[in-house]
Amino acid sequence: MDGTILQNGYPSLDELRQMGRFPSEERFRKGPVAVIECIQQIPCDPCEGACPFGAIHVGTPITNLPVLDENRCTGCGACISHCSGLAIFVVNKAYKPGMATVSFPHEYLPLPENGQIVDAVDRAGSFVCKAEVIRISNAPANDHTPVITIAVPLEAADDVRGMKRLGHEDSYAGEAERGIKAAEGDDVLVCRCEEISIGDIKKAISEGATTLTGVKRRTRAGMGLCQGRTCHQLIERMLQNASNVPVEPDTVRPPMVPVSMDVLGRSADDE
Amino acid sequence: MMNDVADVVVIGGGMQGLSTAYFLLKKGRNVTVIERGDIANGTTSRSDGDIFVCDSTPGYFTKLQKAALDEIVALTHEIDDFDWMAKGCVILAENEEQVEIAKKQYQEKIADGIRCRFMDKHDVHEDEPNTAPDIPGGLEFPDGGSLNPMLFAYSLTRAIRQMGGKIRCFTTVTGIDVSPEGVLRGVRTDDGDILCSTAVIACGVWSREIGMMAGLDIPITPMKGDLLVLEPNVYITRRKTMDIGYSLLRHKKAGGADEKTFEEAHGIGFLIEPTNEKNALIGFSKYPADSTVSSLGVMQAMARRAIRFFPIIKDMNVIRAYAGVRPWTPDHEAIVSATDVQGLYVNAGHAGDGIKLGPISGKMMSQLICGEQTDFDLAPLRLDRFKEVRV
Repeated sequence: MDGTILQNGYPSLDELRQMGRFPSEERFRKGPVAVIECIQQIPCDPCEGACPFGAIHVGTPITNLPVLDENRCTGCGACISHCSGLAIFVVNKAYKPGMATVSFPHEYLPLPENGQIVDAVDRAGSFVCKAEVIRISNAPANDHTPVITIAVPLEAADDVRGMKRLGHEDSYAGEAERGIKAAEGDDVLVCRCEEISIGDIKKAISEGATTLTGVKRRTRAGMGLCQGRTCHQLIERMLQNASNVPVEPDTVRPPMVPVSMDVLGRSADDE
Repeated sequence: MMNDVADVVVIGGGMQGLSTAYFLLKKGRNVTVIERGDIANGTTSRSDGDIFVCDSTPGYFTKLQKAALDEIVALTHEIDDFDWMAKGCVILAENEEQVEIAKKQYQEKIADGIRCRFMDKHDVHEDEPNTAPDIPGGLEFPDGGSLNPMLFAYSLTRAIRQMGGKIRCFTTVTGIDVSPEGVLRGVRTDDGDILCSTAVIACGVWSREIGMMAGLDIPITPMKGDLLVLEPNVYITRRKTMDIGYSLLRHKKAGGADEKTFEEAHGIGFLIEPTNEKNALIGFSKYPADSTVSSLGVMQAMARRAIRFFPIIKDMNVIRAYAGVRPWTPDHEAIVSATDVQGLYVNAGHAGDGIKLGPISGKMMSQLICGEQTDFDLAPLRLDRFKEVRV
């Protein structure tokens, strides 16, 4: 198998097939059907309630993988936008002779237009083939998760799971570079709780901060509600880039998560 | 290694050291501050930044604290902003017995020229409606306020550098060079020696070990205090409010044999301080310990104590806890003094008042070093006052 979701961050076709995530070829030939590419046992079940035909079953415990009743599934696609992991697709291998359609969630603006030719990509985001957009659904029920349907050659139907973002036609390297450049702007917030920007942190470092604690005390970065869980690694990297000495780990302070005074005040004996 | 020369070496980059350096520089002295870690690495960064004259010993020490407050207000016009909020504070009595104590403290403060108002039950609840219904009275001190000790330290640091003072962080003092005649010759560090005829030990809790390098006995021991930080955007009180127990505790050391309960042994009391960042600090504790790791038992006891005074606090979340160690002396008053070593001075041991007393102590230390008349008679703050006690 050429890698797993744990190695690559996306599931491989072999992995999905082995885990029984694909409807039968017989069902595929009958028309549109949902493909639920969910292979990690996480506590999540909106897909179960999203299906108007009762074709998706999660049950108890909630960490069960969803099971599709392929005969009840009509391929309506109502489940696509309800999957918070964006792991559900509808594939129609009976679209036209030699042609299939793939419907997928697409949370990027701008949206394509009907009839537009776009770059179809696989699970890794790599280019597979050119494809025509045949439907865009952005109904209120989608809750801001537009669903795009594109037509692709039949042999690409098991691989294509999305399209390349529009407005970013340049090379991937160019895109990454732009991303880094944007992230280096001094106004970008590093600590969102206390609204501390990259510029604030650079200033603290220039004034002599050499540790996370030094930055924290000068700027308040990491002192908000999340207690640095979001920003500490970013600040650590900035500190590391500014110095040759390894950056000391930050002081860890209780509590691990916010706890109410009432709960804190109860002694262990009361429990 | 960097060998160097200075008029004055200040050992310690906390509130006392920075204040001392600031005032010496204003008098034109060439000053180098040596700090083992980053600026304000010790007790300064763990302080609550309360600047009130409400729990002081009557007489000399109350007048000293009043002058300390005026000195801080003056600094707000001299150095960068440090979140000074002039709000006053309230002290609450828990029962009728404490109301009598509050009445006595009221008389004492008025006699020392401190503005103060006695509050009965009605006044207390009118002032802060969230107070527990049975709280029978308290005192209001309209003067004073709070500041951010870290910002204060950094503002002083910038001012010191602007005046040409040197601050060497991450430099550890390894020895003090004293001539056989008992005269200071220099300070040795892990990054070179500094020749100087004057040095100030301003190391708070760590002054004892530095003093030993020069053969001095500086009787400062660590007295731990814990604080809780509440989530942002909560409203409990509009100003700093505390339990009158703090002023009672001030005059005794926790951990005595007669203290039976956990609360007594750890000097647990109530304090709430709304901060400029819209969260609130909850305290307090006071017990001999040298760790700056928060104690769970103390955190729990402080939470219970806070709920006792402000029941609405029970649904509010604690996001962080931290602890620091106050530099404690046998009589809980500071040491601002010359020593048996000519040219070596001590400015430390400010107990729970280091931030408040920092500027006035630094100013008086600079006056002492420059041979000027000091703002206050320094006799009650001399190091040798402890000698007789120890014999």
